[in-house]
Parts: sequence; C-alpha cells; structure tokens
Amino acid sequence: MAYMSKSFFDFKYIVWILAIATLLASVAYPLFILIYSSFMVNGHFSLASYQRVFSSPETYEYTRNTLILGVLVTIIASIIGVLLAWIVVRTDLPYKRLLSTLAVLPFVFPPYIGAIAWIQLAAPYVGYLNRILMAFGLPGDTINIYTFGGLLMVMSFRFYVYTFLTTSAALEQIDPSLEEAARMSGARMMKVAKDVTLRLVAPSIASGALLTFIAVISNFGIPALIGMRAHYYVLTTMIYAAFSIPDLNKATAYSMILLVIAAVALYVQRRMFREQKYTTITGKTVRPSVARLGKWRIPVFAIVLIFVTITAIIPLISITLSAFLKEVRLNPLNPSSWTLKNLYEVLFVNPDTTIAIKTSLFLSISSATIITLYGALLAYLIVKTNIKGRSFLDWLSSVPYALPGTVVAIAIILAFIKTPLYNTIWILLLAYFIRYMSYGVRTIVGALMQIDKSLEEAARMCGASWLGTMKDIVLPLLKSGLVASWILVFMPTLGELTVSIILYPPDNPTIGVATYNLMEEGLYSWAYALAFIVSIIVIIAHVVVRKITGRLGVRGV
Amino acid sequence: MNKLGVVAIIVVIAIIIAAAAYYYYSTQQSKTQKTVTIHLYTSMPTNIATQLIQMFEKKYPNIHVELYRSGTSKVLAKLQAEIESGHVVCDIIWVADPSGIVQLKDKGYLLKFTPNDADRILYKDPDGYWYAGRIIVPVIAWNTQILKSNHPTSWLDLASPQYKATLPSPWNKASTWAAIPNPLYSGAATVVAYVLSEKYGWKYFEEIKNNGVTVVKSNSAVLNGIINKEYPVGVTLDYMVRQHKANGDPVDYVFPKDAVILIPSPIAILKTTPHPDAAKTFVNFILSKEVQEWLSQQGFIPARSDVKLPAGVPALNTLNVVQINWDQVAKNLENVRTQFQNIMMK
Repeated sequence: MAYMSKSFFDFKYIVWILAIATLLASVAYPLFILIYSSFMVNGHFSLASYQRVFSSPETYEYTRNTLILGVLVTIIASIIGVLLAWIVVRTDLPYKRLLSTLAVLPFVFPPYIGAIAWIQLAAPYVGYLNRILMAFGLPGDTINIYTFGGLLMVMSFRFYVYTFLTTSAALEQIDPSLEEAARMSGARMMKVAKDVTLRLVAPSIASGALLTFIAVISNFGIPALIGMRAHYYVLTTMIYAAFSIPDLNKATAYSMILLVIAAVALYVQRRMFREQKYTTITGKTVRPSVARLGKWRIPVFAIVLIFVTITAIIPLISITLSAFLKEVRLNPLNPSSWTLKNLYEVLFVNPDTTIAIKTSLFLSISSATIITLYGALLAYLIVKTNIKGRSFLDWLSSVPYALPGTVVAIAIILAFIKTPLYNTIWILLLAYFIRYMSYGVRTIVGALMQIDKSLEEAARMCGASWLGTMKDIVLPLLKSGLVASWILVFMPTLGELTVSIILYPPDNPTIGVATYNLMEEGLYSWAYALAFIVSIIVIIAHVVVRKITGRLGVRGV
Repeated sequence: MNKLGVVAIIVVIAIIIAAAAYYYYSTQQSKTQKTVTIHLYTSMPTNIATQLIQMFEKKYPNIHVELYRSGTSKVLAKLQAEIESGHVVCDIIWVADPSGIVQLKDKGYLLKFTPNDADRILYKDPDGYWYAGRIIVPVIAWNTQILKSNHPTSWLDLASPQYKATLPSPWNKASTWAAIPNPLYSGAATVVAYVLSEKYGWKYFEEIKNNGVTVVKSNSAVLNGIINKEYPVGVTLDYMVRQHKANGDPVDYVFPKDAVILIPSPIAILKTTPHPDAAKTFVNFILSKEVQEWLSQQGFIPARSDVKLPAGVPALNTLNVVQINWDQVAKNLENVRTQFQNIMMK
C-alpha cells in the first residue's frame, strides 16, 4: 500500500475505525448485554431467569401462540402475495401499474395504523361495517375484530406485501424461454404457471415467506391492539407486559426466546437467498411473457381491484372518516357530525399529542439525516474499497433491523439503563439510528453499485484526493440514492411504535406511543386524527420516493 | 459538487440544529427562572394536576413543580427504578391507592411529617407517613341511552346470567357487555380485585368472565367504551362518571350495594428529597381546605371532613363501606395481579 497517497490512507482508515467502533458500540454491545444479562441474576451467573420462565406454563403458551400466529399468517399472506404477484406481473391485466401501487400501499403505513383502521371498521357494535350489518337486522358482533380470526386478517392484509415483492421481482427476472418451451410443447397456461414458473420462483417465495414470518413474530402494534382484547398473547406483547410490571428479568428471558426463533428463521432465509441467486436470477432485465386471461380478464381485474380496495383504500377511508367525526359513534355520512376539532386539538391543544408530534418530527428528521450520512460512509467502505472486514460491517449493520424491534429495545434498555441517556429522547434517537441504519446502508449500497468505478479511477488518476473524489464525483451521482435513503428512514421512524413504547421517556411520547395510548384509553377521535396526519405525511413521502427511485417505494428485503 | 447540493445539505443541517435547539429550549425554559424545583409523580388526571400546580406556583412563586403523570403502577415502577439506581428524582408521590405507598413506608423510603389540620384528614397513615389527598370510589357505570331502566346495582349483578338476560337486545346475547380495568395498570382495579376476591373468592372472577365481562386498560378506557357504546356497563371511578355526566355524556353510576370500596389516594414525601420544606409546603397546599374545596367542585370526593361532598354524593357513612387493611393489600399485591391475570386474561 506504499503507493497510496498519505491523506487517502489516513482518512479512509479513520472512517473505517469510526464505522467499526460505532457499530460495535451501538449494535454488538447491546445484543451482547442482552444475552449476558439473561444469564445473570443479582450480579451472579445463574440460570434462574430461564428456570423461572421455562417452569411456568405461560411461557410455552406465549411461544406457541407466537409460532402459530407466525405460521398461519405466513401461509395466508404468501398465498395472497404469490397469486397477486403472478397476476400483476405475468398476465395481461389492465391498469397493472395502479394495482401494484395499491398492492404495496398497506406496507407504507406503520402496522398499528392498519390495526386501528380495522378496529374502527369491525369492532363489535361500534365498527362501521357492523353498524351497516345491524341496519340489515344482523347481530352487532357479526364481524368481531377482537378475535384470533381478526388478528389473522389484519396481519395477512399487511404482510402479504413481502411475498408480493420478492415474487414479483423474481417473476420479472426469470428467463421466459423456459416457459415458452413448455407452452410450445402443448402445456396449458395454468399448467405452465404451476409446473415451470412456480418452480423457478419457489426460492423467492420461500425467502419472502420467511421474511413474512419474522415480521409477524416481531410485530407489536397489531397483537397489542387486537390480540390483547382477543386474549391472544404473543411474545412481543408479553415482553412489553413484563417490562411494564416491571420485571426486567422476565422481559429479558422472553426476549431471548423471541431472539432465537427470529435468528433461526433469518439464518434459513439468508442461506436460501444466497442459493436463489444462482438458480433464478439471470441478472438481465427480460420482458416476461404474459399470459392471456381471455374472458377472465375483467373478472380477475375486478377481484384484484376489490382486494386491494379492501386492504389499502378502505382502511384509509376508515381513518379519514373517524378523524373528522365529532364522536366516532356518530353517523359518518351525516355532514353535521363532521368537525376539524380533532385535528386542531391534536396539533395545538392536547399536551401529549403536541409533544409527541414535536418529538417524532425531531427524531425522524435527525435519524434520517444521521443514518444517511453514516450510511453513505459505510456503503462507500463496503462497495468501493477492499478494506478488511467490510462484509462484517455490512452484516452487522443489517442485524438490528432483521431482529424483532422489541428485542432490540430491551437490549438497548439493558445496555444503557445506567447511563444518563436512559429516559431521555436521546436514547430513542440512538435506538432509531441502530434499528434503521440498514435502510440507509442498503439503499446507498444499491445506488453506489450503479456508479462505475472507472469514473473515480479517472478522477484519482488526475490527482484528486480521496475526499475530493468523494465530493466532486461520487456524491453528486449519489444524490438520488441519498434522498431516497433519507425518506426511507424518515417514513417508518415518524410513526414508530415497537421500539418507542419500551424506550420513550415518560414526558416525551412519540406519535406512535401517543396513538397507542389514546387507543388504549378509548380516546379514539384523537387517535384517528394523529393516525390521519401520519398517513398523509407518509403517503406524500412514498410518492416522492417512488418518483426518485422509479422502483417500488418500499425497501422490500 | 453543484451549488444545489451544497444548499440542500446546509438547509438540512440547519433544520436539524434548529429542531434540536427548539427542542432543548422548549424543555429547558421553564426550569430556569424558579429557585427551587420539586418533582411530583402522580396518577391524578393531567389537567387536574396541571391546574393544581399552576395554583400552587401562583401562590408560591419561588417553588417550581415538575410533573410526571402516569397510571399508579407505572408511577410506582418509575420510582422503584430510581430507588434501585440510587438517584431518586421524585420528591412527592401522589397515587390512586395506598398499597404501593405502604410498601415504600415499610422499606423506610418515606418522610414522616404532620400537615396542618392533620386531624381533619379522613384517611391517613397511623404513623404519619402518608395522608389521603382525595378519595376515589370504584363504581358500576352504564350508558343511559342503552340501559333506560334496570341498571346493575351490585358487584354480583356482573356475575349473574339472570341479570345479563334482562339487558336490552342485542346486549343480552352479546359475548361482551361489560368491562373492568386492568390491575396491571390501575391501582384502584387492584384494590377491587383484592376486596372482591376476599369477599366472594376468585371464582367470582371466573363467573364474571364467563358472563361476558372483559378487561380493558384503565378506568378512563372503561368509561370511554361505555360512552362509545362498545359495551353498556363497566367498572370505573366515581369522579370520572360525574365529570362526564356533567358534560352531558349519556352515563350514570351506582355505589355497589354489596360493597363500597373507598380508596384514599395517598400523598407522601420521599425521605431522599433535597427540598423537604418545599415538599411539605406543597403537601400542605394540597390538603388545605381551599384546594380540597376546589377538588370537590371538580367532582372528586375530598379528603377533609370539613369540606362539602360533590353534588349527588350521599354522606359516606350511609354507604355499605368495606373496611380495608392496607397492609394486607400491600402484602398480596403481586398475588392479586397474578391471580387476576391467570383468570381474566386467558
């Protein structure tokens, strides 16, 4: 390395050391403390925490519930996602672009917003749908959202997006010649789809299904708002309950169980993803062959349209109507029950919600900015250098997002409880940074890969320093990637609930926490007004990011 | 890099600095002017606590009160965490029920003191460590638009299928027709669970569960559910119903005839307080006739014998009040919560 200029050598390695140190302190250290604490009781090595949780039947019940919910939602969501992906990518359906936009829309909102939208639609006696059914003389609890079935439905309607994204990406990339060969040898359309296409995209489906499973077992908002009322308890909600008692030992032990389940699923998923690269993705963009639906074209279109309306549009209508109703029990179609009062009070009057909005805006803007800057550095090290340990950096930065947020939050509590950070807004900023770091890193890695290395080499050959090359060549080309990264972090952090509910300082709730608390208190009008504000901001951000990246505005995998 | 990029980055950084500065300023500004700051941890409703603090700071301009408000369990948990960390911020604690305060007293964390007019305070610790700052009563409430007659009158009605059958359709066949608050969050709910499990045994809770009584988070959640017509009946706190009724909401309540549970909401000073005089001044202020009268006007049952009860509340000695041994409640706290959870939340 003697031929390297000195400034380049120094700066790159300083950045490298900083990146490693930050990652070790913010990601590796809390996870280490979590595992370590689970084996410590009163400062001594002990298996007492585990003995206690494994000797109580509830532990098995919560673990079983978590697994059952995870598996069932994964099956339902994968069936929906795969069918939808095939229809949207491989048939001659009209308005495909609109349909695929709507199909990913549920994913743009925080999960609990979907849950509260469905609560307002399908709660017994008071839900809009039940009120309509009651008008036709049916019982007021015909549809009851507070049941296991309700939980399954709300989760499936959100989490099908994983398999939809992985499957449609794979369908767009597989070599159509194989299918054409099958069709030419006389196979019928459905048989081709079943025998050839399905087999080719199977690894992508499996990968999407495992991501769905991890997302479902990690989710807090939906099981907390719907599962608790249905008396269906899962590990995330019970970690939160144990933490509220407060029984930190129990919360830690439950976290370890969830961590192990998620880690196994993640390991299998990563292995599969690696193999899948060699089997289905040719790397070239190919024009996929399109199956003609013939007389089924319009009925299929109608079914898909109705489905995406149910999953994407109706919940949004539910939130919007409720936000503008004087009382949620009033008739939403009667203009005399409409009001702007809820929005006004949430934005300017209610001390909890005004602080929450301020806090969340501050947190999401700062974490988006910090992550984008840090992500750019890390991504550069990963893509454009051959420094030792860069794949380790890549892996470490992706860990906190892949693991359940509740577990990450408990790990952060354990690691930082004795520091002045605890119970301040700064621990939330740290948590958001840790958890959403991979959004920035992955997005910018993707953008950097598209910049040809020869450009930099040219600049460097002309005598530009590393810093100069970065500033004049790389950054301008990277601009859209940076903006995308910023928005992709801003969107989920604005309404974040899972991590915030455990870490928020009592006098600084976030929007997610405030909405959740308002729902729990039965103060629905304010909760819907907050959810409405978040929805509007997030939709705008989603549209902007789609414009910029030209791809689906969600970081799929 | 082009100019636009530079400008964009500067703007973003400026926004962050401005946001951080604004945030810092808005949280700090109130702390700078006053001479002494005391920290009040309470489960009193936010608007009431805020108004009390405003009244206090107007009267004692050199004492600033910082408020932390949450449910009783959460308030006690926060204090417990502070005690364990060795850095107690809380100076005054004022929660819904005495069980947690009794535990604090037994562990020697409270400051003994005698307020002015101590003999006029209806409920207090015999050793002088805590005093009732108000009295709360768990009551049975209902939606008056749904239940026009034949409202429940006793705890036993909640467990009775015969009573449920008298409800108007569709509630007589509904899977859920009543709600009670969760002891994990509400101190008053813990006392209710303790008293009723002593009086009727834990089978009472199995019966109400099988009869269609569900558990929601807090007393105010129960009440909002009644008003929103999620269920017609629920167990909540007396003053909340009075306040909502006064606002014209369709809700009314009874003191259950088989057991009225009067819960003194204790206020106490932490031994670790660096400002014992300011803390005593605040507690004296809360227990004063002036403030207790104001609380009574807001619908709370006052803690002093020389203050009139809120409109519509009968003299307390005419009610079927159960005697409660707070030491026993404190000892059984964990057990009550666990039993309740095992029965009601399955």
